[in-house]
Amino acid sequence: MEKSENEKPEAKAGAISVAPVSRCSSFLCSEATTEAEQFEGSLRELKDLRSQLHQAADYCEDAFLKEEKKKMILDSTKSYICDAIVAVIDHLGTVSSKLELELCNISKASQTEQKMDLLSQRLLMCQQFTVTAELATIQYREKLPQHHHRYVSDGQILKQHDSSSSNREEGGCQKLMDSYREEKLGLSGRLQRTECGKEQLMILTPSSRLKDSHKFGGDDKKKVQQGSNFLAFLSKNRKKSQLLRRRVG
Amino acid sequence: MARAGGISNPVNVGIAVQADWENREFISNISLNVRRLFEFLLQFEATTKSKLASLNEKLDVLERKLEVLEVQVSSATINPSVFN
Repeated sequence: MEKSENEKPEAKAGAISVAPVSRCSSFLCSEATTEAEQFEGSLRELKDLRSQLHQAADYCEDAFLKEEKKKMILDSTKSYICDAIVAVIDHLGTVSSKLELELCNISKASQTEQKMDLLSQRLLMCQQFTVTAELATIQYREKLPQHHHRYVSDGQILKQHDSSSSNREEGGCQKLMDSYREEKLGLSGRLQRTECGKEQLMILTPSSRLKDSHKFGGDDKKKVQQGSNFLAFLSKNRKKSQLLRRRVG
Repeated sequence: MARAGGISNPVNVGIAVQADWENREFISNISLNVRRLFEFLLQFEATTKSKLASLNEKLDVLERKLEVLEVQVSSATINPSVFN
């Protein structure tokens, strides 16, 4: 731009020459500056080129209107336009290539991502270590609470209670069934929660009528009565046989 | 240019027409090159915008990950029982 302003008086004097466009791209600049500074410099040159071209166009228009040698001015203007377009393309190519390189060479994001992945892996390792340490403290307990088999009900009842303990919603229904069973059997059995966490139906205080070995239910009562009748029948037979032996003897 | 040589002379008219066609050809070439330059600028703008958008997205993801890591580390330092 300074060159064009300096050459204006010469053109007015008769030598029709238009200021040459500065084609010094940033590739030719000093290598000491960093790439970012070069990019900013090339952008600044491109911005300056715009005003330079406007001033050159005004100058060519004035010279064409005022001077007599219009063909010479026209030819010089044409050559100047060609040079200007080439210079603009050169600047644009420089800026675009530098921007492209800058965008491609951005590796800080990937490096930061790798560092963060490393940190997350370390955290996960710490968590796994703590979990394994916690698991090592837990030991298996072999001495489970054992009850005599006569105090333990059937497996079906146990299964029902297991399922009821797992399903809390059915707990109320199960309690109602237990109370109904107690009323029906006349037993004072009740549920006791063992140390394992499972519920077991245990007869803590069996009734005086039915002793330890008896099960609950109406059929069991009948069986007990039948057994007592059978014992009475046996004792009667024994007495009869003893009387017969005495008589024979 | 035609006025300078005189319109009455047919030779001058022919020269002026030829010069006019040459000027038109030059202008069309220049306009074609400017259009190509404009298309390149548009394409370059689009690619640059897409690359910058992807970069911005990457940075956003990294920022969120960093926040999560900060929270995890702070919770671990506040509750040392987690690592005991």
